[in-house]
Amino acid sequence: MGTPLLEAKIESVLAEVQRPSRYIGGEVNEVRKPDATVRVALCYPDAYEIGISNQALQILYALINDRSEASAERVYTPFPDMADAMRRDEIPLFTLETWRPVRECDLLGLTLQAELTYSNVLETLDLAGIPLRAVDRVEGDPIVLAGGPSASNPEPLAPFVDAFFMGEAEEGLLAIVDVLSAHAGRAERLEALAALPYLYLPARGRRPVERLVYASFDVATAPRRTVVPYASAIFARASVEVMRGCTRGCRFCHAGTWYRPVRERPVEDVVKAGLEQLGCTGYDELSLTSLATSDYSGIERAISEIKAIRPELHLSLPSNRVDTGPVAMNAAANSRQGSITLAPEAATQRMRDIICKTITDEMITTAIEAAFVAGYTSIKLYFMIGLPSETFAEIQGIVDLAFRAREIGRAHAGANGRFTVHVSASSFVPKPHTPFQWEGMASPEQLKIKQSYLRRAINGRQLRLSLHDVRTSMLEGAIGRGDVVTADVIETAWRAGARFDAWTEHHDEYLWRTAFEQHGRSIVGEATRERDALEPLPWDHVRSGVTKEFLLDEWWASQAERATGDCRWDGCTDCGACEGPVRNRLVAS
Amino acid sequence: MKTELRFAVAGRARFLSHLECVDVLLAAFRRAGMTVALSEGMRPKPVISLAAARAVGVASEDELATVRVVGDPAPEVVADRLKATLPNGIEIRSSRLSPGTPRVVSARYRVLVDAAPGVLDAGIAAFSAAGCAPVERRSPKGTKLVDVAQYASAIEVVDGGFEVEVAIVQEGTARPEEVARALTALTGAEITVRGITRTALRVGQQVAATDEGPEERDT
Repeated sequence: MGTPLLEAKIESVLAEVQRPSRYIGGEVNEVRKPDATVRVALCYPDAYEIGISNQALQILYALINDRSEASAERVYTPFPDMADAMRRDEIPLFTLETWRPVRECDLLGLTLQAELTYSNVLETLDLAGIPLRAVDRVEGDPIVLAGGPSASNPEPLAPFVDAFFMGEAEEGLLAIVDVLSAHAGRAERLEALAALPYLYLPARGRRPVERLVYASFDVATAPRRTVVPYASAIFARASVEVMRGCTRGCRFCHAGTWYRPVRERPVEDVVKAGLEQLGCTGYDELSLTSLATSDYSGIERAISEIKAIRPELHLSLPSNRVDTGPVAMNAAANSRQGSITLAPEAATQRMRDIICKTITDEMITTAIEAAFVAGYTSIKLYFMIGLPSETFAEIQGIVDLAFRAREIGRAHAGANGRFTVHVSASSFVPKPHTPFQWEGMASPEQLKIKQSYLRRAINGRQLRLSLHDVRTSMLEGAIGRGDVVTADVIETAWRAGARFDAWTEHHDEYLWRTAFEQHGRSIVGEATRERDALEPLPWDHVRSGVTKEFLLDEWWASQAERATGDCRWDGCTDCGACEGPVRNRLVAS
Repeated sequence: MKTELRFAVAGRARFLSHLECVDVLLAAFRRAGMTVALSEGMRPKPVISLAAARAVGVASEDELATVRVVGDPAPEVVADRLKATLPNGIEIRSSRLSPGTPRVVSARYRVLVDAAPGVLDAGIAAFSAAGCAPVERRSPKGTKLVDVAQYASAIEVVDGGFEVEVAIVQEGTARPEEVARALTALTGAEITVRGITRTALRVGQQVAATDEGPEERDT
């Protein structure tokens, strides 16, 4: 445990901050191993309620703690009130489990789930007392490892990180624990880590690095014991990942490239893991997660077997294909029909062909109708605006579809019936390793005009609209495809006070605008610039498994307004993902 | 029928809010294989209430929860099964059939303080003589004066601090740290609070228990 003096100081500041439960640990299924010889701090660089809901860290936490010599403890970025109090009282960042300083750990593992958390990465390092830049670290400082989907373009954080983990960490992270066990010195550890092909150590130059695919996903058992968060968590439910990867090929989707190939978990294991997790957590809801759960070939059997044992259970099936089948499946999975989310992404067939979202107008309207018939009272329709070659027709299409959904709702619930059509329109942000990685974002002026039109047009009874903040979308676009100069921008912005940028109340656009200008750049310039097909990209040395030639072909196909089929059903598209040791593996096959 | 549980909150768990405590208890019931009954109506809620919301950071040796469990298991069975599934820091002390909706009339607190020798004795004497002890209470809604003397009684010095009985009435209550501030104001000497523990809840005449009608979850 932490020293009595440190514990007393922590307890003293907890009495004055908001939501002190963010920092106390002690939740059900927490693991404390104060005598472990290898200590890993796993960090989600955002507030507790966001980070504790992350499934990946829960999996890694359990895997490391299963090792006898190792311990995994959790840490989240302290909220500004707590961070200020910690700096005032000279309290170093501590782990939730033992309240020991993070700096005393052997490894600090950061998950990078979103670019808007990058200022929090620096905030976390600073509060921990770890030198920001890897080059300034000395013997005794923990190894700073970063992984997660946003690590696929490591350059914006390269100077601050000792090693980036590329890909799925289940097996590879345990190999890193082995390195930490076998070597004591910082230099020896880094030397040994450099030999692992899925790690990128920026200090050793931009060498090719291969994304690691978790080959045993479909045979290893799904995690059972997860830490049960306190009430504030954004997601508080049991969850079993039924499938990893997606080959639908939506051209804007980073996960659709990054997690190929598709691997399904056997139904027996899904059912067993779900029921055991419910038992040891006390949740009354189970989520069967994946990038597209309705594509999981064992989904109907999994639902019926779980419901046979727990008929009252609320089963959530996120990320569903827009079609009548998945809607009916959702309805069958739950006794109470509240809200269902459908994501057409674009409202016209032309744009859906451009982004490779292979659904038709008829599929969308019949899915909406099926949802109302099944008794859902809230339909959420997700769209993106600012997509490549977008015209007014696409924006008007969103409006038309919203009103069409309301008509369908009224036909089933009556003109004054209790239902809501909730339209959400986010701004398209091009991501590395996708066919749209070369595209420029729409300008902020264009996005604001489109948002303004949607606000005026989607207005009335039973209609709701939510839009994303254009400022943070532009920042995400400017950082996400950034290079090593972006790292200097991030440090400048953080030193000026940037933190918790994903939180509207804490995001300060001026800080970021000034930081970009100080380094001769602009947010808008970086976000909107279309990259040339022959231009070297900052993430070219990261091998995702999907070839650059495939991405280029897909980009050109989008310009020809031509969709590509899904290799699970329409034949191989030669993307390259199955060239490695793992290929698409479906339960049904 | 409802079960009345008395439980303690100690250690880091004292930083859980009232709402978080309710959710921790509900999850513990589910892990123990017990179902908390739901109220009637359009928006059913679990029939559970915690009496006299405990302030965040205050430990307690005597919390009071009233809950209706589906199947009406015996109170001692409820307590036994719950003991195995509660997180560290929350501990069941006793259980019984609920005699009715509890009406908490006062709470006793032990307040550990740093103060010079004799200051507490002098403060308590001055408090008894004063008849009125106003302190400022700040909240997001603004600042108001609270007369601590209206609520606090039976103050006595104990090892490391003092104990105080605080009345809980319809008009409000005083917080134990406000009692310490009142003592500071009366003596002019610094009294710094190091920790607060609620040691007892006093329950007045209880309204007869009924199984009719919904009961909102006390949040």
